[in-house]
Amino acid sequence: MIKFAHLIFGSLIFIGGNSFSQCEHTTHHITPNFTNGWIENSQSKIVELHLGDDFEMKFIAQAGVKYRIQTSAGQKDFTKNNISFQLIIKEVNRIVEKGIVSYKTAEVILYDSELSGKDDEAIIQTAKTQNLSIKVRIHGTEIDPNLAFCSIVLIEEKRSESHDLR
Amino acid sequence: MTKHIIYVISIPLFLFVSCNSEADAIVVEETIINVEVEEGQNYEPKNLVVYSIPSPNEQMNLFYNSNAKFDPSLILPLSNFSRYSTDAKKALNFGVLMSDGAYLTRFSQSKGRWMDYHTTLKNLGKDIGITESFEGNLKNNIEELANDSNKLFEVSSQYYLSIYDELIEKQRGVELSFILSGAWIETMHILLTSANKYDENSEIQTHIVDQRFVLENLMGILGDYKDNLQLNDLLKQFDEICQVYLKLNCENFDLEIENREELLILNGGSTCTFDSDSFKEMKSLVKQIRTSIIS
Repeated sequence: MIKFAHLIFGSLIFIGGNSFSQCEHTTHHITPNFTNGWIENSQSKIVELHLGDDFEMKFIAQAGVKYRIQTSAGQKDFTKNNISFQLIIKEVNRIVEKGIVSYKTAEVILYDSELSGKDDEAIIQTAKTQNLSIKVRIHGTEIDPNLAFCSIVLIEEKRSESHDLR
Repeated sequence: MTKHIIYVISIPLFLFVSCNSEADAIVVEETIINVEVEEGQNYEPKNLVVYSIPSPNEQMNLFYNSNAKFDPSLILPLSNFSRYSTDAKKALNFGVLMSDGAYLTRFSQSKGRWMDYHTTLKNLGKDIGITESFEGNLKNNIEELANDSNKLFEVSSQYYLSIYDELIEKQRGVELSFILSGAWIETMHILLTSANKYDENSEIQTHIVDQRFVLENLMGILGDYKDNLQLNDLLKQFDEICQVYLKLNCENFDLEIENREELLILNGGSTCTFDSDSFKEMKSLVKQIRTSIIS
C-alpha cells in the first residue's frame, strides 16, 4: 500500500519533456573550448531549478563521437561549486520467469563529478550509439532556496580525425 | 531552524525503447531521495526529466561517413513548402526542410541552392513565429557564404541551436515538438531510402537501428504535449515505429569501461539487426508517415 502511495505521489511530480525558463543559452555562461577542437553539441541544456529539485537529462551519445560534459549553476554568477553530476548508463536485462518476460534496469555510474577530484568534466566516447543519462544535483548553502536559478549542462563534441576524410 | 522532510519519489525507468508493448511486463524501480529544506518554505521539489536528441546536422554527419551518396530526389522541392495552411503542417515541414538543408550542406550540394533554401526556411519560420533566429550575425554572412558548403553546414547547425532556443524562450513547445518530429521523419526517410534494400551488413542500416534511441527521447519530448490532438496522433504513429524496433534481433554484450587518460571509452551494449521483413515494414511505415506530413 505504501509502495502504491509512493508511486502515485511520484507520478504527480514527475515531469517530462522540455523545460521552459528564462535562463539564457548555455554558452552565455560556459564557453566551449573551440581552440582545442571542441564544438557545442546541440543536446546541451539549461534548466531553471529550485534547491531540492532533481534533474535528469537523457541524451544520445552517437557512436565514435567524443563528448565532453560539464555543469554549472547560478542565479547571477555561475559556478561549478554548487552543482555536481553523474553520467549514467541504464543497463536493461531481460528476465524470463515462469513464462513471463520482464525487464530489469540497473544503473551503471560511468562518472561522478564528486568523486573525480579534478576538472569536474567527463569526456566519453562510446563504441555504439547509446542513450545516456546525466543526473544533476544541486547543493551548497549559498543558493537562496526561494529563488529559481539556472542549471547548465554543456555538452561539447569532437569528431574522430577520420571525419571528412571519406 | 531546519526541518527534515523526506520526499519519496518514484522514478520510472524507461526501457530500451519505451513502446507500449503489451507482451512484456515493465519493472519499475523506486528511488528514495531525502531533501533538506527550510521550515516555512512552500516549494515542492520537482523530479525533472529532460530529453535531448541530436540535431539533423549531427545525424547527417554520421550518415555522411557511411559512404553514402547524395540523391537529389530524396529531398522535397522547395515549391512544396508554400502549400501548407495549418500551423502544425508548417511546423512539421519546417523540420523536414531543416533536415533536407542538413543533407544538402553535409553532402556539399548547396551551391546555387542555398539562397532559395534560406528564403524558404525564413518565410516558413516566420509563419510559425520564428523570427529572431534569422536576424543578427547569421543574417550578415549568408550571401558571402552561399558557395562554401562547409561554412553553410556550420550556419545551418547554428540555425538549429538558435531556433531551438527561440522556441524554448517563447514557450512554444508544441511547435518545437512538430519541428523535431518532421526533421526526424525526414532523416529516417533519407536513411531508409538511401539504404535501398535490406542488407544486414550495411553501415546505413546500423544508423537506422541506432535511431531507436533518438525515437525514444523524441517520444519523451512529445509526451509532454499529449493534450495536443495532432501531437498525440503523431505519438501513436511513432509508437508503431517503436513496435517495429521491438522486432529487431538483438544480442547483448557486457558493458566494458576503459579509462584512457582523461577519456572514458564505453564498449559493449546491445547490437540489433533488422531482418528482411522488419526492414520492409519500417520503410513502409516511415513512407506512410512522411507522405501524411508532406502532402
